[in-house]
Amino acid sequence: MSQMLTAAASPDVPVPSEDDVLAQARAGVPEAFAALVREHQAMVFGLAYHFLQSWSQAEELAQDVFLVLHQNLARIESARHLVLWLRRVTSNRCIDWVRSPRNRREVSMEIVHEPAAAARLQDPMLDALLRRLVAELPPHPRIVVTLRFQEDLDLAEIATIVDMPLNTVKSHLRRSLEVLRRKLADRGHVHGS
Amino acid sequence: MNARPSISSCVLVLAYVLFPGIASAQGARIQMDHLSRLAEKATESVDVTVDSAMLKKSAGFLAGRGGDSAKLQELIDGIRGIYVKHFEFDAPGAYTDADVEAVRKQVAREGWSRIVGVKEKGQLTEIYLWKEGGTNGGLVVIAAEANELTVVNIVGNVDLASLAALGPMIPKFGKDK
Amino acid sequence: MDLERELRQALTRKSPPRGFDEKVLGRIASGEKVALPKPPARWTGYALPVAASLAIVAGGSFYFWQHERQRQMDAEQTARNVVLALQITSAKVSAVQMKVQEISRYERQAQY
Repeated sequence: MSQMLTAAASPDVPVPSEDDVLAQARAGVPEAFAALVREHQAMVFGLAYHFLQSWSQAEELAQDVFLVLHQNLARIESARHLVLWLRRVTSNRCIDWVRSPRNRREVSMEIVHEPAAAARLQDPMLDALLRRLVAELPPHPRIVVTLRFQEDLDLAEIATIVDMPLNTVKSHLRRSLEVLRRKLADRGHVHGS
Repeated sequence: MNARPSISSCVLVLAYVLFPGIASAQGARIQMDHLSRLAEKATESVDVTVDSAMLKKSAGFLAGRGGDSAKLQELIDGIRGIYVKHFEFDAPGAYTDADVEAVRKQVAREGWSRIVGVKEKGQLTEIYLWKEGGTNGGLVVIAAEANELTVVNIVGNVDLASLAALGPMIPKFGKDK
Repeated sequence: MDLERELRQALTRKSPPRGFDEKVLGRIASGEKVALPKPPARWTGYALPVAASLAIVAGGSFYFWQHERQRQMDAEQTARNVVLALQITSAKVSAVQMKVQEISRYERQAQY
């Protein structure tokens, strides 16, 4: 979208709105669909990557999502619907991905207290550690956490996307944060909330 | 005036006669739901409710994962239910004396005896055992500190010494075995 | 550390590798379709009950597998909860045990 907007950035050429680009993509304009991919790829790939913690698997999954989008463009009603649709399809594919025997990998959820972590540690790789810990959550809590903190969605929006009751989403989030805090504490990270 | 027993109370008495474990289990079980609201104020909270059916289902995941799973299984074998509410707060005053008293009132009933009580500098730790017919049938631990409150209720026969020496029994889950 | 803030920082959107959009377009251009659950096709005659039976068995197997997988995940989560609960209890029991021993030691010393 940004590239199409750049190309149209002239006083005489109106800048196409997101809905315009979507309409063009639905009409079969390849550049328009490419613009949609570029506009939303960071969101889709990010969700997949944070969920799977595998660059190659995330890329494959994200590509699949856009292929499915191309096959279902006619169903997308608006730019806003597109975002919801992409989040929903990506989330569902993530969960299906880990449940597939072909893609299943063992996740480690240590809850053993590690005595060596009693000393406070400065961990410059905190972001990487957090991502790894999130990826160790069970699938449904993991997707809730990823949607919440990558997309900054409120819990009602998440409930709509993953088709879960709101209380279940709240519970997943609360318990996940408890687990993350505990694991961080075991590794010597102090946290206040 | 005739006081006729209701059908439901007859059924209850019959249940207790046929399944004496029910009476014992009910006596050893305390109510802690009133503490759940503290989770909203807590910086960290743990809320575990595991009944006997769930314990049976989880048994397979504890075997063969390192630690001393045989001893751990022995500890768990006697347990019929585990109920834990643990809260950590930013500052004192998040819970009230009434919150703790509501628990202590339940373990003041007949059948419960306090085996340990330590109170110092605003910290209170008490351990109560439920006994019926000479057999241990349950445990309650109340640990109340300024910034932390923990209440544990274990229904069933649990060995305190084994519980205190739990560390080496703990298995590892997942890849790191 | 503010965990939620740290999570927002750790879980920011991530750009895919270079050429991602081209790869997507390439797969589309090649005619590749990603498998989707399809609506039931129209069958006639004897094929319908056979197909229905197969669908029921396949669907049943799938749902059984899904149910079984969920059951295993639930059981594993329960096992973790059991161990966590015992750890918390053990910590409190050990702490009071040490306190009692400390008090007993103090009282013994005070007697002399």
